[in-house]
Amino acid sequence: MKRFRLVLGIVSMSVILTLLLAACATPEPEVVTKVEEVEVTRIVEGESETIVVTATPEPEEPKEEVTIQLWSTAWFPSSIDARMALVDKFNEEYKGRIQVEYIQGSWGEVGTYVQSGVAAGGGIACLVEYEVEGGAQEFYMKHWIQDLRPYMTDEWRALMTEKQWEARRFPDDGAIVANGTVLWEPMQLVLYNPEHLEAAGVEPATPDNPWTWEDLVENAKLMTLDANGNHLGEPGFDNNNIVQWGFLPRLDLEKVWEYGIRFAQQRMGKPVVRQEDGVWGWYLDEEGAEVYESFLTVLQEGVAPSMAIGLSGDSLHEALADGTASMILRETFAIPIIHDNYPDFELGAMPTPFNPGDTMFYKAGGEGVVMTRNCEHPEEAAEFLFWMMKPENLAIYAYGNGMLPANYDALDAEPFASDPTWDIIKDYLERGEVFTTSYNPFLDEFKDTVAAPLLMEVVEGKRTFAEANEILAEQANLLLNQEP
Amino acid sequence: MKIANRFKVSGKSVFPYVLLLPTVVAIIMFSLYPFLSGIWYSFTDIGWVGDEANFVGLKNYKYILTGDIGAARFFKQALVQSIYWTLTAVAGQFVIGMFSALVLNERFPGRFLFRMALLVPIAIPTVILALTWQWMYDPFYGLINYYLRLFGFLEGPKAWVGQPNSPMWPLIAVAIWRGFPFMTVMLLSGLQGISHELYEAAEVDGANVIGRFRYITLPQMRTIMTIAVMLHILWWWNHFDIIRIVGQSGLEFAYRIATLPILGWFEAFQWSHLARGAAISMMSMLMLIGIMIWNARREIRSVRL
Repeated sequence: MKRFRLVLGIVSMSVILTLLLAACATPEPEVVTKVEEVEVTRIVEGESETIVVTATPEPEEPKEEVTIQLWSTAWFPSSIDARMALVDKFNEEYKGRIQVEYIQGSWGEVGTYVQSGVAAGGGIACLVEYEVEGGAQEFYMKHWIQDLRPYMTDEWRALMTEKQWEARRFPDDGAIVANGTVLWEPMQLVLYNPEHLEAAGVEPATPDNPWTWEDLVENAKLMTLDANGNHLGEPGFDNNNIVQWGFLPRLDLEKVWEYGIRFAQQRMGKPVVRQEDGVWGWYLDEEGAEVYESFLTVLQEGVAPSMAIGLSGDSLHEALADGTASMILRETFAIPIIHDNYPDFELGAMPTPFNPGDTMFYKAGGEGVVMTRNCEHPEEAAEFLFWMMKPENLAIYAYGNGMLPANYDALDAEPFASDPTWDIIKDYLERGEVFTTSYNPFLDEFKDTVAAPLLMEVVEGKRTFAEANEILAEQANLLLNQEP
Repeated sequence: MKIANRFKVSGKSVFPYVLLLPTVVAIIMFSLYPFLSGIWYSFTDIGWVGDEANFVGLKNYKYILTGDIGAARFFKQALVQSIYWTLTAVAGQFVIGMFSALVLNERFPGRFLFRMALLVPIAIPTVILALTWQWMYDPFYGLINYYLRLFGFLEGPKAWVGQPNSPMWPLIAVAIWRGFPFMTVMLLSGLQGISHELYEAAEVDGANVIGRFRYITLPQMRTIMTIAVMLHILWWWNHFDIIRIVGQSGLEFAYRIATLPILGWFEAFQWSHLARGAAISMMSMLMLIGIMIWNARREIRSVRL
C-alpha cells in the first residue's frame, strides 16, 4: 500500500510538472501564407489564351518579435506616466518587430543594478536610464556598458547638437556612452508664491529684468515675517518667532556642490574642476567665487532657517505650498511634482539670479539611456534609443519629467509648445552659451570626502569661503590626479 | 531507514551528510566564497566589479591607516562613530530588554499579548522598518513632529535626521527599538531558568526586590547576558541599513554619522576603490574578533576560578 502511494505521488507530480512546463512553452509563430492571383498565358489547341490562376507562394519565414527591457529611474507620477506612455507608443508602432518592457527602477540603485548584471553575466535590462557625467561615463570606463557608435546613423546623430554629443562621449576612445534624453542645464528656477510677492510689493524677476544675488537676499528679507507680520530688518522683528521664510534653498551635502558649482560655472563659462596644463584641479576664479559664496551664505543673511540644511526636495515643495516659504530654489521638474501634489496651489517661476547683460553659460550634459554590456538585442535596443530622441517622442518623455529635452526641437512639439512656463528656459537657451567638461574618475570621491564637507562648514558659518576655497584647491590637486 | 541504508560508504551511513550538503553548498557560495574574496581583494588594487586584481601587499591598509585624502580622512572618525553607535545601541537594548524580560517573567492577564507584540519589531524587515522611520522623522510629513506639535512640545517643523549636522541619537533610538525584542527573548529565557527556591530563600533572609535582583538574578544570568550582549555587539557593529536609509539622504556621504561599514561601502562601490573598501571591512572584522577573543579569555578565566 505504501509503495502504491509512493508511485501514485511520483506520477501525479510528473503530470503536474509536465502541464506546468507545457503552459510556459512559447508557442510557435504563426506561419502566414499569402494567396496570389496571377495572369497566365497558355496555348490551348494552337491558340493562346490568358487566364487567371491562383498561385500559392512559399510561406515566408516569420520574424520573431523581440522584447527588450527598459529600466527606468523615473520617480514621481508624471515622469512614470510619461515613460509608460512613450513605451506604449513605441510598442504600437513596432508591433510584431520590437516590444519594450518597462521596468521601474530607482535612481539610487543604478550602480548596484548594472554591476550586479556584470557580475552575473547578464540577466538585467538591455537599456538603463542614468546620468551621463560620473554615471554613464564611469560605467563605460568599467566596461559595464556598450559604445553606441556602431549602431548610430547620421539621422540619429543629427537629433542633438555636437556639443551635447560631446558631453556623452568617453574621452579616451571617443565612445558614445548614452543617447540624449534630458539636460541638466539650464534648468534652475526660483519658484515662488505669487501672493507673498504681491503682499510684499515685490516684482518677480524676468529674463529681461533679472535679479542679482543681492536683490534676491533683499527681497527675501521683505518676505521673512514674524508672527506679528514684521519683516526681517524692521524694528520689532522677532527672530525667535518667524512664521514665513523669504527664501528656502536646498543646502544639503549634494546641493552645496551641485548648485554652487552650477552658479559659479554659469558665471565663469568654464568648468570649475578641469585640467590646466594637464593637471586636474579646482580652479575657481574671482567671479565664480563671488557667486558661490553668495549662494552658500544665505543662511547667515537670516532669510532661511538653519533647518534648510538638509531639507529634501519634497519638504521644500511642502514649505512653498503651505506658505512657510515664499521662494524656493528648484529645478524645472519640481513644477509637475508641485502641480500633482498641490493642485490648488498657484505657482510662479522666475530665473535664478544673474547680472544683467551677463552671458548665461551652461554645461552640456544631463541624462541618457545606456545599453548594458550583455544586451542580447543591441540593434533593436539601439532602434528604440534613436526613436525616443525624435522631437515628437522626446517631448512626451521630457515634459513628463519636467526637464529640458536633449533634442531642442522637442520644445516646439506638444506639450511644450503650449506651456508658457517653459518660456524662461527657452530664453536661457537663446541667451546662453554651452560649454563641455571632461571626465575625471575621482570626481565623486573628491566631492564626497573633500568638497561637500568643507562647503557645508561654510554654510554653517564654521569656516570662511576663502579658507575652504584654498583647501579645495590643494586637496583637488592630490585627489583628482591619483593613479587610476 | 531504508533510504538511509542506501547511502552507505564503507559500511557507514553518509545520509546525514547528504542532507547537510545543500546547506553547506549555500554557505560556501554565499558566505565563505565572498568572505575569502574580500580578504584577497584587500591585498590587491582592484577598483570595481570586473576590474583586474593585482597583488599589492599591505598598500591598502597603509593608505587607510596613514593617508589623509579620500576615505583615509574619515577612517578614525568612522571608527569612533562605530564604537559610539554600537555601545549606545547595545546598552539601550540591554536596559530596555532586561526591563521587558523582568516584566514579562511575571504572571499577569494579557501577558501572552504583550509577548506577541514584542515580536513586531523583529518581524518587520529592516529596510521596511528603516523607510517607515525615515517618514516618521520627516520634518513636514512625519508622525513624530505631528504629535509633538499637537501637544505643544514643538512650534515648527524640525528635521531630526538626514541633515549634514544631524546627531546620531535618533538613529540609535531606531536601533534600540529594533534590537531590544531579541535581547528580551534571550534574557527572558535566562530568567525562566532561575530556580524560584533561590528567591524564596532570599526573601526569608530579608532581601528586598533590589537585593534579590542584585544577588540572585544578575549572577545567575551572567552567562546568558554575556552571550546576548556579545551577539548584539557583533550584529550592531556591522549594521548598515538604519544608518544608510534613515540617516542619509540619497547617495550623500553623511560623514558625521558614517560608521566603518558605511565608509567601506562608499569606498568600495561609490568611489571605485573596491580593494580599499575590502581593507576597511577586514580591519573592522579584526577589531570585532579582538573583542570576541578578549571576552572568551575572560570567561575561561572566570570559569577556572
